[in-house]
Amino acid sequence: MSQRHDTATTDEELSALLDGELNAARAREIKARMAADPALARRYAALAQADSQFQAAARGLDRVPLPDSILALLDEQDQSPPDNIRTLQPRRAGSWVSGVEALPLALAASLALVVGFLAALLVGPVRQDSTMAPAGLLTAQITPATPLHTVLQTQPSGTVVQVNGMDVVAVQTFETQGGILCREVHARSSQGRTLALACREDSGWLLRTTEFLPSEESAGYQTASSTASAVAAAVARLKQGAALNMEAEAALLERWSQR
Amino acid sequence: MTRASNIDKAALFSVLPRLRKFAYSLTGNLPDADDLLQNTVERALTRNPPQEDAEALARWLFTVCRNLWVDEIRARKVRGLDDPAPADVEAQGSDGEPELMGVLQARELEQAMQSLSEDHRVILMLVAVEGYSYREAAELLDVPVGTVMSRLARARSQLAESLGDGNNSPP
Repeated sequence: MSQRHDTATTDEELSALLDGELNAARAREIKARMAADPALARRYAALAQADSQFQAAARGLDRVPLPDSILALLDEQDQSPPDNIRTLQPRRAGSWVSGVEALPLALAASLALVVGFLAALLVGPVRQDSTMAPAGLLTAQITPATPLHTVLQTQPSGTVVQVNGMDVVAVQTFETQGGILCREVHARSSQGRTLALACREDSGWLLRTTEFLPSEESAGYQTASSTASAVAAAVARLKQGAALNMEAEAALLERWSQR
Repeated sequence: MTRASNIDKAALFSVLPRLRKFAYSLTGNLPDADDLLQNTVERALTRNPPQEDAEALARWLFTVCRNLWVDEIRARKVRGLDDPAPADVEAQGSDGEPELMGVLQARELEQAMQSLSEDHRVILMLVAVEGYSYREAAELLDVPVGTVMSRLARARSQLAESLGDGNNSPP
């Protein structure tokens, strides 16, 4: 084709035809020419083929997990002291950005499904939390009267309740070193399980970590670190001593219900 | 220093795949693309991007992303480092085992990308993948519509040749 002296013009027009950017009259004209000229038709097909290869390749990018460091930036919750949050140092030799260190509480899961879970169960507007995150970290406040708030506030661990087609159960209640009470909650739907860790601050319940673990059947979702649960890691890090026993937890729920 | 914006993180999440592809089209390799993506997200978190709809947010992010990359290229030239970082797709498997399918498809992408210049990658990403009109792409890139048209034609032609399809034309 490089032998055709009108290649540049023709390629531009074929390309524009591909994009639907030619006016109708010109588009008809070129299609008529292609019908009569197999070489031109092949050229059009080759350009279209290049296009679809590029598109397929671009879609392939969606299957490469996002780096944890980026997910962490958009994670609503993390408990590291502010100084640890924005440690500006190169992420690797030759890296051109001042990277933010990967935080342990990254959403290691399908974001869409986590977001879907949040929409179904909870959350008021994301706000800046001044008690735990003076450096401007964002945490998700769990608004009173939302299903998750009710579960956190009233349901003993191990009691399954139905919320919007999901089985929701508080798994454990524990205290952090700083004396903050936290609860781990699991929600199960046909697509998989969502794990959440919420802690009860002065201002109310804050969502600290969520992650989605797809069920075996719903393939296609690849977690960035599928071997470890981010919520489990957060619990392990925060938990001081054992989980509250049933009696202690019941007393707590009783107390919360009176306020 | 980190001033939290009121950005809707869920909305930002939903644009991430598009933004990542765009970043990739700029850098031509995944490590740089993810660094650029991270920088862009950080920028979005400390500014107030338009959020009236996903499209407005996406365009704002694309523009910021491109500006950051232009700055980076300039800085690399100053440092005498203007050759792009080598592509190391395997490194993308985060801390765990690399995700095989992702790695394979990334290789394919890498191949397609490497046969193209940055301008050509970007224009194909905006028009062929994102579906922007020539006029919209021209606005985003701040170039005339005619440039969009000729770049696209050259990009497709080059890609067709590198994929072997160009050789099917009769001599």
